[in-house]
Amino acid sequence: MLNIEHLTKKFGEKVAVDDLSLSIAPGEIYGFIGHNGAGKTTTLKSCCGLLRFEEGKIAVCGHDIVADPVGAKRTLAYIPDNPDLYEFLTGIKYLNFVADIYGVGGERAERIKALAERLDLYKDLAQPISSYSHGMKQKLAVIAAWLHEPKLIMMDEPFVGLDPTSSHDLKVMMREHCDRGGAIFFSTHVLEVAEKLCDKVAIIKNGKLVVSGTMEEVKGNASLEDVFLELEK
Amino acid sequence: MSTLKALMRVRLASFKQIYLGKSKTKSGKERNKALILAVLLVYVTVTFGIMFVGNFSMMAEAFAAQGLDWVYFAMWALLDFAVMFVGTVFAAKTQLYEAKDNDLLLAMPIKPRDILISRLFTILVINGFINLIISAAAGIMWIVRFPVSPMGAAAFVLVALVLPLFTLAMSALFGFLISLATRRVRNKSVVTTVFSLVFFGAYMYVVNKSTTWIQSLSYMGGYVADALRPVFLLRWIGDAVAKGDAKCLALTLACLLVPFALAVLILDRTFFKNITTVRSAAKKEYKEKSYGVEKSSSALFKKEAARFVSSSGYMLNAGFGAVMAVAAGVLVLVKREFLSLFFSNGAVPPEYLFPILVTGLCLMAAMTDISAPSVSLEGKSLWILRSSPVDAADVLRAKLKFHCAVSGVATLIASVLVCIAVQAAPVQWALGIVLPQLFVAFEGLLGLLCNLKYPILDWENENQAVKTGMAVFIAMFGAMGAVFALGGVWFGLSAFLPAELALCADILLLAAVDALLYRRLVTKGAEAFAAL
Repeated sequence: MLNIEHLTKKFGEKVAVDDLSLSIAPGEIYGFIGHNGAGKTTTLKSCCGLLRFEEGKIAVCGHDIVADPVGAKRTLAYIPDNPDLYEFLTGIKYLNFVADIYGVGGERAERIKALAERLDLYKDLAQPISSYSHGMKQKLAVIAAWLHEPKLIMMDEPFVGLDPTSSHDLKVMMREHCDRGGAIFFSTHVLEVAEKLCDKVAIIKNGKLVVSGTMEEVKGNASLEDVFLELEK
Repeated sequence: MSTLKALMRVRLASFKQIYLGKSKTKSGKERNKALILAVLLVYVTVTFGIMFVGNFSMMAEAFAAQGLDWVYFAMWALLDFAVMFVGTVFAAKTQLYEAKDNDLLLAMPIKPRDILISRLFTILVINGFINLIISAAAGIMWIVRFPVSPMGAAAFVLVALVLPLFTLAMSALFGFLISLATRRVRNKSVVTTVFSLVFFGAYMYVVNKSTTWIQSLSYMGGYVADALRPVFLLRWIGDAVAKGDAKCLALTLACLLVPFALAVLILDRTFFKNITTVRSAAKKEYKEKSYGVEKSSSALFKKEAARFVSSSGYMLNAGFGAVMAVAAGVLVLVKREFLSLFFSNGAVPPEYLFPILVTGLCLMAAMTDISAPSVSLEGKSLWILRSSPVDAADVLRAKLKFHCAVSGVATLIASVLVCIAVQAAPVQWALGIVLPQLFVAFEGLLGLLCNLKYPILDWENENQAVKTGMAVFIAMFGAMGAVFALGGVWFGLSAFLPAELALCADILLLAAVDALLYRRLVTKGAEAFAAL
């Protein structure tokens, strides 16, 4: 579903991501962990075509993100760490915009209703996004990501700003998405969430992938927190 | 006190940021920007100064000759107040009642009173600047011709110092009323734009007519005096300065200072409540309705339209030329007889009339720069388009199309009005429509390419994207330069060719430039957008 080979991204002299390789198969929830500035967001942004990179290759569902960006983007959805949406639109207009861009047909109304009711945002869809709280914007970004039924969903700190109920709903939605054959690649600082939710995990430090694999392979009998703290030393 | 000073510094810095954009380092660029600001200030001061010097010079002569010295100073106070009021009423609205950093400041150990004082200070700075130009013009034009008593001079200075405070009180009051009227409506930006256009229209009308009015008023000093006499305040101001009347001065100062003191007192008592009370349009619950499925190109176009109508700043600054184009068309139609008379008196050949009007339409199109800040306006939400499965060229095409739709329709209306006004022949109809439309496309393309070269994506206030930056500057003035270049080409060719044929040459030239720019937009421009 996602194949990253020897990704290197520099900002001037600083190497933000250094020769990173990993791959995500259908049905996997893949957690991406690292300290602030480790290179998680840079990797995620490179995967969805928001950043150009110097070396390496990224393929999303077989589409090279550099050679065929539109084809690759059609199969993925991205939620950034800060949901800066179009504040001048209402929630429903934003969702319709996204649906039009991804070519979602007549079934969009049912999908929007189901997703928005699930995240308790349905009644607020007529409000302008500028009046939404951070959590509501995050929910809208989640609905927009799920709306076109992408194969791969990439999220940067998706639980920040969500209330406990929505946070739980999102975890369930993530699992359901993967059970339907999709894949999730997300970054988080909440190690307990990663430990409970992820099938696989990768830890990045100073741009380099330190360890990756199934949860059992990475943490063994210890907790993910212990492993992470040990690797950070 | 140090908190207040810091707040005032922040307010002054925000002024600089609004007009010149952000600078992260003290680089040569910042020095250049400071120089541009200084030049701009000098330009505004000199332009307005010359205008007011002319007006006051005329009034001084006329009123002094009729022994109506007091009317001169009453007119000065009235004009000074009117210009300050129009100049600051919207600043008062946003600074006092709708500032976005109130929560941030209230969370800090800052007294609400200090926040209020720093905001009042901002408005006073604008008032002070306007007041300085007008009062200096009025004072100088009187002093150089007529004797003034020391008491009169002191009264003039005192009134000039106090008048901005009185205006501040009135701006605060009307700013509150406008804020109250707009905050509960859903289409706030449209209402604000209408308010602004009405104010601007009134202002332009007054400025346009001021010289004629002042001329007439000067000859009708007696009538003016009769009209102003019942307004006690104006009478007192006039007598305080013209006659050095201490009693009138005391009454004037009381009348000007009491509203100010009351306004400050009320604002001080209500400021915290005002800025912490959420007043918004009634919450509308979503009711399911069907939305048609659009093509992505149409969705992108609609998104541009929604962005445009959501922002009064964007509409007013970038779309103003469209309003002016229609207004110019109407003006040409209304004044068609005057135009034909002017062009038939032999000073300018009559065959120049149509090409000059068409060039004028291009100039109006040059003032509509909707596309120039459109990339910058994506700001922090640029990730949406960049992560979506749309070609960068399609995004840019949508921005261009929207620019052409707004400016094109306005220019088309103006073209039709001009063609009707001059009773154009069929060939002239074609030329009068095609050339301005090609220019609309040129302005749109130039704006987009400039914005891709000089984007501002880290703005905090969208006015930074709309008003500042090289893109808007180059697009507007570059396009104006292009109008003169086209005019030059036409003028050069018209010596050898018939006027219409020379216009055809302009059309061919512009079409070729448009094609080249379009090619560049969808290739290099799209690459630049993808790399932002």
